[in-house]
Amino acid sequence: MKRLVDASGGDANVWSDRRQAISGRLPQPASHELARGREREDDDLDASRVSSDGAGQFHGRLFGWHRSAVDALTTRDQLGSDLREVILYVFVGVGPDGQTMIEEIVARLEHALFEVLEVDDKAIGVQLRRLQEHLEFPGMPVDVDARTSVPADMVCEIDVDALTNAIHGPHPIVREVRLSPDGARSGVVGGRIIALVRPLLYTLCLSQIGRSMRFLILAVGVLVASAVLIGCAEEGDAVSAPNPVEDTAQVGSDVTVVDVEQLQGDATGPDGDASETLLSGPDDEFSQAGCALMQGEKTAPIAGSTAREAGQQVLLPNYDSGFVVALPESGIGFVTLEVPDWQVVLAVYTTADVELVLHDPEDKAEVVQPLSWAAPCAEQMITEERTKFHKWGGFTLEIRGEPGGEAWLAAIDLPLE
Amino acid sequence: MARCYRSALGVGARLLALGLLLGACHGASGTEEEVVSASALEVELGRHLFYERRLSVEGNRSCGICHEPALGFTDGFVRAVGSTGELHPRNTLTLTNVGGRESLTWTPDAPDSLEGQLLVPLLSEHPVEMGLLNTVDEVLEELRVDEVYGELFPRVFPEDADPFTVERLADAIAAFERTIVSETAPFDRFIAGDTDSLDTEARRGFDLFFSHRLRCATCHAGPDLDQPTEDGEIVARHGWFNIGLYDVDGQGAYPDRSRGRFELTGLEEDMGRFRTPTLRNVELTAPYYHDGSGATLADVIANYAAGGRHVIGGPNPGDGRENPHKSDLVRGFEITAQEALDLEAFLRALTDWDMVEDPAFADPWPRD
Repeated sequence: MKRLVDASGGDANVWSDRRQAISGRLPQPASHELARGREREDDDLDASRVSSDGAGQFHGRLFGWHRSAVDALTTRDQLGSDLREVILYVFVGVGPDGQTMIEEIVARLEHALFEVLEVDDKAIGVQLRRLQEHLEFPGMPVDVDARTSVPADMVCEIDVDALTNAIHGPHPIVREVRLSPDGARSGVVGGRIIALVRPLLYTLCLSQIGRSMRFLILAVGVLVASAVLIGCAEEGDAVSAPNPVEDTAQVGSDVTVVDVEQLQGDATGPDGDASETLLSGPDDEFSQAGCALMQGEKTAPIAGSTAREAGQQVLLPNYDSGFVVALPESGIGFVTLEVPDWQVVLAVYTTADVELVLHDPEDKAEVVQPLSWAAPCAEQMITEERTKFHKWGGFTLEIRGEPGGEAWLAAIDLPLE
Repeated sequence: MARCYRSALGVGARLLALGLLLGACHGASGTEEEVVSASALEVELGRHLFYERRLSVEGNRSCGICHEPALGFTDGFVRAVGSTGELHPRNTLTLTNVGGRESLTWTPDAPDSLEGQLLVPLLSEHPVEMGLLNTVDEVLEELRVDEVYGELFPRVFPEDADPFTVERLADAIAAFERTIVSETAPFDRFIAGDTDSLDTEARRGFDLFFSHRLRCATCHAGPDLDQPTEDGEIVARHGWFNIGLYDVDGQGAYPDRSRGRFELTGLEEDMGRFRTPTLRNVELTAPYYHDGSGATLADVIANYAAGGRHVIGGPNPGDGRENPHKSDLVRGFEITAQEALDLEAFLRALTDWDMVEDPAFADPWPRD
């Protein structure tokens, strides 16, 4: 077991200037939430659990982008499209092969499509209820062969760690999302139709009822769906608050370009409280060790100014000292983080005004604890993120901070057992 | 090496490459006998030891874990990390065709026999690599009672009263390492007459590599593409060059602990001179250079095209292109973007997948 240090033994004064510089620009951690933060449990390192936790967070965001784009369209366009889709269901339901076709539709809905996207070589898993071809990440390959089913109540799931975090908001590597108005129309509002009609289809599929009864049930479904749609449309018309999507939407053009960076600041919610992502409590021994390193003596590496220069400055995770990394005038520096073992979890600490981007072109790492406040030293605006590396080697670490300034870092490896 | 004779003899005198290859093969006498003399059993013992993690103080390193076949028998680190987490000052060299080498490290500061050299990572303390100096006897006792080694050691060394010694351990590992031979890369098939083995890009890259304009083969000649030439003739088994990577003081200095032969001789002319590495499997052995500071093949090509590397940021800024100790052979050249891609395609044609994926070189131990 590596030696752990009591974080409380650090000199708090060293933080006064730094904290003052940081605070005010960033959301503050909630002390009362930190105080009752739970301790790390074994399943904290379970990647699937973390991903699932984050999915809901991104769900709202992704859906929000769609919603906004749809709002930019006319109500008539939406209604026309969605009613056509409902009528199609009715037609199918009362047709001569209605039972078979309904079963096929149900099967299709049950087998949602799974897309794997890559953003700047960072793999992002996206689960969608169905293939929404209108959603594009320009310049990023999409593996449409990787498909899996998802629960019926899940609109979409995405590896939020790659896109957004509670401290900084959307990830800077996501430059834009292109949204086709046509696709958005059928993809989002049509999704609501499916949600409404689905129970009816199930009913029809499971019960051997006559054609006239099926028609009656579907007709009722159409009426309900139409009413809901009209309500949605009116709600959309009533939305007058500006949003980033509307600002850039170009109705009638082929694509709508959304600058995700304009959305920064939303991730922590309106009150800026990031405590909901807190995963390690103040007594977590590794967080304490990381905090102690951040408050103790540090070595002073100098970051390269380009990714090509990252190899000239190697940082090795350790329990002996943190790092004060000098950044170039651009404010974006590059170093190499040497991961010393296979299947190791690294906890990386920095201050909230510094953003770290791990370059992982071969997809050898996964975030197992998203960026959050480091509980023992959250008052000092120190953040923590834990990443599991499946394989060792040198990883380029991009450090974004104050131009010509310095970034305080610490990195430790956690035993898996 | 016997295999390189076969590769070269089918080529004829078609290209400069052939002449360089033949010259080098004739100069590589002695290694063939060594390969033949290594019994299959000794090689198998060596393979087990090569992947034996008990040979590291923390049980987390072996020869094979730091010379991984999938990475062209390197480790993927910028600079190697030892068993105790200590950072090595150098990038890990490949073991591809290591049996034919007369110098085994970036600078000639280690024994030049495989048996002698492998004791350095095994026992060294500065830096600690496998860190076995103080526990090697205990480990040998563990091997003595091990089911596999308990049988293999006495059979491989029947004349020894006690074969469980560091020397015998080194003999076996070295015997295995000598079998790590690359001879079936597309490049090998091409120079043996199979013109279809290189695609169009790689073929253009081949021509560029051996062209007078780029002159890559001036330093990267011979069967392993690591031998220096003069006037088209190979002049030595190894070359030592300053290729203009750094100039930290404006007078040609390289960073501390990375000064090449200068660290041994103290001569200014040896500043930054490191051994030319083989280009075999170079696609897999990133990052590059003695300190791993070259991330990609594209970066390396760009640096040569520029006549050296101009470092803007980081701990060692300076214009390596102006390094006064830089080799005259690194002059820079004009190259188009497509030509750079072609050259890269040729370098990828040096990847010997048959060898990399050969089960004979794989880890014999079951892993979790």
